[in-house]
Amino acid sequence: MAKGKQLQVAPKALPVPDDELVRRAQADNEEAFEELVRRYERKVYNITYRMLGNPQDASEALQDTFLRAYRFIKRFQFKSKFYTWLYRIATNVSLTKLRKRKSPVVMSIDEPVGPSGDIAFEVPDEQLSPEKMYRQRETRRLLRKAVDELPEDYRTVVVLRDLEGLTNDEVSKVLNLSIPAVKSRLHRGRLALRSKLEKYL
Amino acid sequence: MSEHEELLMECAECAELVAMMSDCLDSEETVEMRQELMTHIQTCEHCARLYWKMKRLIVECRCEERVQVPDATHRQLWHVLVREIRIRHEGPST
Repeated sequence: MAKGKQLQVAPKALPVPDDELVRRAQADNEEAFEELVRRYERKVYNITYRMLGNPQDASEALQDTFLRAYRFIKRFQFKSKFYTWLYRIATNVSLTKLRKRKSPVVMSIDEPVGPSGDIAFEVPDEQLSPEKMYRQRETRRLLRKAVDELPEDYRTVVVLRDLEGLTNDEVSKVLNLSIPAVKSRLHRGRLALRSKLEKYL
Repeated sequence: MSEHEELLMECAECAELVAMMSDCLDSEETVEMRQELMTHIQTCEHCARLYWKMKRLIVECRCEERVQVPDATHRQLWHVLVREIRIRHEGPST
């Protein structure tokens, strides 16, 4: 390379903001909607999976969520972030499914769990001893079971706040609750989880 | 009711501090709240144990790995969406 000549790197295109994609989708631009699906597919699946506790129901809820979002996107009025609107749909779809269950899905804690019935998504820290790895895996498995057993009001808040990492403000917008109500449910949900996992924490 | 919960029912100070524990664990507390809680857990073994267990619980929750969308689910989602888009544009097939 000649002295003083700078390597020219093409600037990376910034991602199109959600709001712009939503405007395009509202104008029947299907590619824009597809980009929104790609952007949020995994996040929505995680919410439905953690709310419903099994991959079959989570998959159905994922489909229902995006179908509803597609059908009703023209009603979105930009009063909130697109993703809080989408997560609200995902949460409502999951709650409807939960309420339709005649009896709770009982999964043995010895059964393999995971998005496709395995535990391959768990990558243990290789620096841990076998005992610690086993204990860590057990704690995680019991944690998932304990979350599944929480009353739905607490479960919804714990999933969104502690498992999905939303802020209290975002959770309040998704669930249409006041921030004090979110905090109260979160605290009670955590106490209930702690009580169920007493021996393992 | 656990021994700890019974104690909390009896001790108004503990009950009040436990109620603010989540705020402290989420770093949403005021300086005064944190000071009050920390002073309390230095002298109350039950609340100290609860605080550290709650902290560990939140760490465990945050360490939960985000699951991948299974391939079959991903394919089915796109199949359903493409069909829905086609129906909107062409009407339901007869």
